[in-house]
Amino acid sequence: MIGRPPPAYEKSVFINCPFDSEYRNLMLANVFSISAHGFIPRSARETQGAAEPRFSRILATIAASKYSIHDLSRSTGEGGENLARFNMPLELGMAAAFRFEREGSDRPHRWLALVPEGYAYQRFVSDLAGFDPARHDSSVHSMIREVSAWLRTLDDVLVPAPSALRILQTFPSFRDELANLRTEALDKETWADVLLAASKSVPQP
Amino acid sequence: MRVFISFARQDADLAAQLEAALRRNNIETWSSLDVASGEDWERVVDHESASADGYVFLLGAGASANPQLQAEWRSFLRNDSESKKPLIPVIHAHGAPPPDMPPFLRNRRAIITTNFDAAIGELRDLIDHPTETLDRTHEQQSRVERKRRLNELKDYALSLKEESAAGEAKPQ
Repeated sequence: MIGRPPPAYEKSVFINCPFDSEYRNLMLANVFSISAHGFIPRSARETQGAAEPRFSRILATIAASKYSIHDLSRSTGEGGENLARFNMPLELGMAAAFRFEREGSDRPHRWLALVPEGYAYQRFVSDLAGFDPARHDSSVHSMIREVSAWLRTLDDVLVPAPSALRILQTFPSFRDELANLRTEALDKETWADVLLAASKSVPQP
Repeated sequence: MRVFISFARQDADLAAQLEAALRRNNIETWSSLDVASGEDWERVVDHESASADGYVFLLGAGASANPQLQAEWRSFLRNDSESKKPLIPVIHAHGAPPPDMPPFLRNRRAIITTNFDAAIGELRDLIDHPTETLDRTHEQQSRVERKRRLNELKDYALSLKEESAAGEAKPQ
């Protein structure tokens, strides 16, 4: 382990979402929106390969982030066995505990839950009622719109930030930048590449 | 011209005064004071924030960001995806803006007044000219801060890359 300085707590936004190829564009939209608002996207992927168990790494990264975004849109039955993914709700639970525990301290935590459009979430995660989850329809534009609207209300946001429309319009440049980095690395892509591509392509306000 | 008035619950009396002053001056308004009993608050706020030409944020002495107010903020922020509608802070005070100004209003010119009727002219002018609501003195400072933050993101990404390369080079 190199002694890299961790990003500032106030600028860290932990992303809790699927990392499969089907969800990839939405994950990238999330990363790009966070970067465009002057924050640093954090993920368990940044310590991939470390000896520490994944659960501990996630807990440590959420603890080191003032903000977190949790997409529960895929917490439904999938595949032949109709299994639901529980990692996302589990990680949201960690963030909710941090928020409760740190209320009023000098290290508060704020989180946003993303759910599918409509009101189905009230059936599969009714405890979220009253926390105003953001709804998206699995499109890049709805992800950017919802995440940006929330980021703009945060104390540590960079003002002014580019509009949601501007972020959407420059999203293809970010993807191209990332594709170039992946080609240079012989088709291997790391979390560092995702952040580097974002830092090179976020638009001006 | 139709404006959406946003305010904290404890400033409801002031909001009613501001709303009345605007209507007296032929400016259409909507605020959560207009939500009828039994109406779906979330849907109404979403509809009204989408159809408003501008947003007025009343900041009284008791202004604070409760969850409902934050939900309201998110509603109009998501309904202004081009960030072109005027956002106008109206501060009911004699002195400087309060320290807990909503983050997205930090670069906006505020109207500070204790007499809403007297401020209508300035308010109307800002609604008609959205770019005038921007506080230009904030621009240089924000450009420097933007550059600094992007460098931090880049440096962090590069340090992760280095770390990953060092891990791969380590003998098994």
